[in-house]
Amino acid sequence: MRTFSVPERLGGFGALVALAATAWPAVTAGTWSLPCPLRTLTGIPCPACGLTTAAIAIVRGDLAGAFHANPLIFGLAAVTAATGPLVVLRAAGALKPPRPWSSPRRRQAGWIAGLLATASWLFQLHRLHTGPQL
Amino acid sequence: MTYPPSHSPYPTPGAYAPAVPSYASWIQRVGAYLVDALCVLPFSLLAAVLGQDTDLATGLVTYNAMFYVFTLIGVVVFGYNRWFQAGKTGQSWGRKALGLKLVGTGTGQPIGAGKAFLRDLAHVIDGIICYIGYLFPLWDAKRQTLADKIVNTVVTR
Repeated sequence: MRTFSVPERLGGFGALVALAATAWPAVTAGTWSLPCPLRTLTGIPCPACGLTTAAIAIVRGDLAGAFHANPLIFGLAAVTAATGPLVVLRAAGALKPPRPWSSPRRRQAGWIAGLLATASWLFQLHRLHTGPQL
Repeated sequence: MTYPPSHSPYPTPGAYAPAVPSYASWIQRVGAYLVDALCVLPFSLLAAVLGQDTDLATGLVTYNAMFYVFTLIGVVVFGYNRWFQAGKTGQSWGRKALGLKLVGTGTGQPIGAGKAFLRDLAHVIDGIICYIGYLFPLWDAKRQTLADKIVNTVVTR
């Protein structure tokens, strides 16, 4: 088996998240979700805050609820949805196998991820009323 | 990372072929950790079942000696497995089952019990940022968590 590329790995992780988000409410019945260590200790949310809630909302089809909890979930959902066909097409030979990104492209992706995390953090600080009201 | 040779008309099979050493994937590492956790689970269950009572007067949970005994046994088993044995050989029971090895980045050798303990301690950093540190092997070039980066380790297969 070939080594999967980073987007494919993220897509695989997204599929696991979707499975867990479908199964989780069935076993817990309540609204309990993973406690955030940073928020528990300091009261400050982190950029990933609300992702458990958002994942459960999105698999239920509650898109507004998912957006309200953490819009980043739509990015993960898009990567996850694209990964299945991508892996199949690559396995069938219809698409070329993935190639490692060049160093500048990696750096660019790092910057984009950093900016997204910052934007998400501002969103969470605003949502949970711990920062300046935007 | 190896790129396919530019003169080849076809993509080289395994263009993403892992360079030496080959790092363990995220899911393999999750699997190894789950096996390690399963080894301790019986003691946690015994501590929870035999070690807890309910105070009839207040309704609060109380802990008896069995709780501390089984919790301690669990910690000892966990420590032997993940710090002593994994530090000495690079393999906890979980990593052995999955064929993985924890080694120093530069040396390629097992890291010793002390450093293996520090590495598990450093996992706090992975957890405190909403567990994102545990996801780093999904995209990191050396498939390292933040704890791996702090103590200079990699998990190979």
